[in-house]
Amino acid sequence: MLPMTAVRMRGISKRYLPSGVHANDGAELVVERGSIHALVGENGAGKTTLMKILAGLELPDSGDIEVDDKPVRISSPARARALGIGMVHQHFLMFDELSAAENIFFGLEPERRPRILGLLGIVDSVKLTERAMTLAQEYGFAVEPSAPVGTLSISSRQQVEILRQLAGQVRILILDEPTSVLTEQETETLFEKLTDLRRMGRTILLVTHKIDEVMQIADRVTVMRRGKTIGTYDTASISANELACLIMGTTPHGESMLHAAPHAAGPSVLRIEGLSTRRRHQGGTGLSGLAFDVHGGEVLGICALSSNGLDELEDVLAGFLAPTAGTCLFCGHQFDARRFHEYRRLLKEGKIAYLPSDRVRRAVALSLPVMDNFIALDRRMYFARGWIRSALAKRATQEAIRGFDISARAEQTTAELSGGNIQKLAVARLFSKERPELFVLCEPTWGLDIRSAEQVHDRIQRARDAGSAVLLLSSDVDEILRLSDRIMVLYRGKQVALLENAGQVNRALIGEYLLGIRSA
Amino acid sequence: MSDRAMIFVDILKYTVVAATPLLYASIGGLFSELAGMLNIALEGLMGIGAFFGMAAAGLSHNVFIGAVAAITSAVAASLLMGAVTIRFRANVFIVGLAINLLAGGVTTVLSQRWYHTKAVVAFSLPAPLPAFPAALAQIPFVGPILFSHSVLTVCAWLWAIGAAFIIRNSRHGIRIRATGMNAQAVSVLGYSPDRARVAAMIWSGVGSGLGGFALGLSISAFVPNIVSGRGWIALVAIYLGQKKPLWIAASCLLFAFAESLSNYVQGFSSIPPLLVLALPYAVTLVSLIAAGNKK
Repeated sequence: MLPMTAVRMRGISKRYLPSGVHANDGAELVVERGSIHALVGENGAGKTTLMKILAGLELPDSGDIEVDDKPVRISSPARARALGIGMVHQHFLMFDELSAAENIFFGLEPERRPRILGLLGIVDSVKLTERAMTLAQEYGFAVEPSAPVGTLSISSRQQVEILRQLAGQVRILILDEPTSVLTEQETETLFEKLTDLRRMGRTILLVTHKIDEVMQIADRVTVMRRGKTIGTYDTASISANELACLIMGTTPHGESMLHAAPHAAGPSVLRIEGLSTRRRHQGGTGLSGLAFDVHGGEVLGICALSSNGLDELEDVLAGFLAPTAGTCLFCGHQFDARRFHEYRRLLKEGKIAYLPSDRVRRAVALSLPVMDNFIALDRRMYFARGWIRSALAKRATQEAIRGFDISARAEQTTAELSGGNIQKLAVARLFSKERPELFVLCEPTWGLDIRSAEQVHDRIQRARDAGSAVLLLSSDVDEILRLSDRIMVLYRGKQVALLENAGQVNRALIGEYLLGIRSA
Repeated sequence: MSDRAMIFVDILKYTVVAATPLLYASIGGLFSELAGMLNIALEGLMGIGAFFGMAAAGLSHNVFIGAVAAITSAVAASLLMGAVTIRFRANVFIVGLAINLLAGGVTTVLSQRWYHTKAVVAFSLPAPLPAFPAALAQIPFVGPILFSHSVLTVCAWLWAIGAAFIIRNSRHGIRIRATGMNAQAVSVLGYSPDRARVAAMIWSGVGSGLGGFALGLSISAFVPNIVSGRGWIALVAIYLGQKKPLWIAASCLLFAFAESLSNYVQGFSSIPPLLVLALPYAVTLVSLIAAGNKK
């Protein structure tokens, strides 16, 4: 008789270097056998890290893990597999040109005997296909075994990945945000399969941030926030709203976070109507029909959880992703989606200043010195006659280092800086230039400590008060509430709210919009 | 048979001969390509195979021993390359270049040491073993083109067919292809992508070693720069054949035909010989452009 507890994780801590971010900070998790157990939390709450530790993809810095009441050390994915633990990743780990059957039974292919020279096992492809069919039938999956998986739909690929785990005798199946890539109908099908698997005695761990799904399918739910476990609850004894509150938490600063009202909103700087895009990558969400405007002297905060369209919006605003439809009015100059290059020119001319969320890939060249990165976007000033004005550049860089409290030297290679200091460098560069009409700021304080975040917030407010329009794209609700004059929330690529940031708007309300349990 | 027909048959016959080294090397290189490592050292590995293979064959007066030596030496060099790139994470391109340079140096120095010449070293070897009964070679047209070849040439085709089968149908082949498609997934599933990469390097070594040896045997000699770009052409054949063994073989035949044609035209026409000799390379260039456009 197997014990009732399938997994017990205690005091799990994991710190990511070099950023030093605590992904897990004494996290706890107890999962009952044969249950569907959801793991919820905001972005960066540490859900995925905890699951990667369980699946042997990351080693914890400290903490104990028990599987079937036996203490274990899960040092590799192979070890996890041997313990019957398998993980279906958010971005599937597939071999596109291999068939579904070959993917499912990778490494476990039936071989013909004898092997050539005792070494080369020839795969019995007939048996392989048969086995894949049998397996798929056993669990009620409809997968064409001989098709290359690259040609399959996303939901079929997901089924292939689940079957692969089942073929490896996995008893504890972890799914990381499985529905973020699925349509509603595909989600229903997946949930039916998961319920079937539970009936067959498998234990399922579901990482998600969609509350409606938790309420629909999970038996129990563990809430995580900032790397810590907040608690585990029976879904039968908790309401969706209570769960939302637990996920979002209460603001630590309370009243001091109240946002300062603008002096006076100026003329419209950017007006966007009917903005739609395709999805940027697998697992992304295309935007559909966004309409908003932002005025000079105003901050419009745009908030969403991951895979709900914030990345796509950033890419459109930063000129990387051409929209499929929509019109844009910038300071009285109108153009539509087909003339996206005109919008891009605004960025190039410095009328729109952009702070990327992915600082390492988009904001800096890691191998260059801090100074080169600092002056990189200002050709006119530092390269007046085509040659670098190094004295001026150095002076300006050092000034910015002092002004923004960056721990770095001008000559230092940027790769040596911590994530926080790289972000401060990118912010300093943006705010040292001539004031643009519009700021597009994406996750501006992500990974910054409280004091640096305050500084950045202060700069943003000053830029607004000086008359710039600010678009603040952030998944940090506190930041949105603190800085924004108006707030827009995206859910599954659609705008579900556009509110004045006044008295009745609070964390809980935004949370309900973010999690899709309230809509406009 | 008219003179013109004789010439035609000759060109085609030599095409098959010239395709032999290309086929060995490109099919060998295909393995490392599929495992996700562009093996630019094929040229150097062929040179090493040619030198050590011919030296051993000359010493032992035995072609089989020569082939074994060619394979051993080229595999040793490719394993060296594999160790440096896979184990120590060096850049595969730079290491490949180093192997190419090293191969030229080592063979020249050893040639000077052993044979006291940096030029042609001729070997007297037993006549190549015909693969088919003499009667078959007597069939007009088809006979000389298809059935006049040595065991080594026929083995090149068996090698290609065998490799195609292994790549497609063996667990080993699947592992190598999977590593090239998504190495991270291979390791997450609990297998070692590095093992697949090393295995692929060994295949590369076997193929290019035999390819070099076939080149030496075809002229019964070793000359510095005997490979003269065939390793690079083999690499092009992998791409032109879109990493599919059958199409790679076809590409090898195309390049070999260009080489055969240039050899013939050289003796007869008034076109400057250097220009004619450039024909295979011109064909390579054109085919690369064509392949690039298709993408």
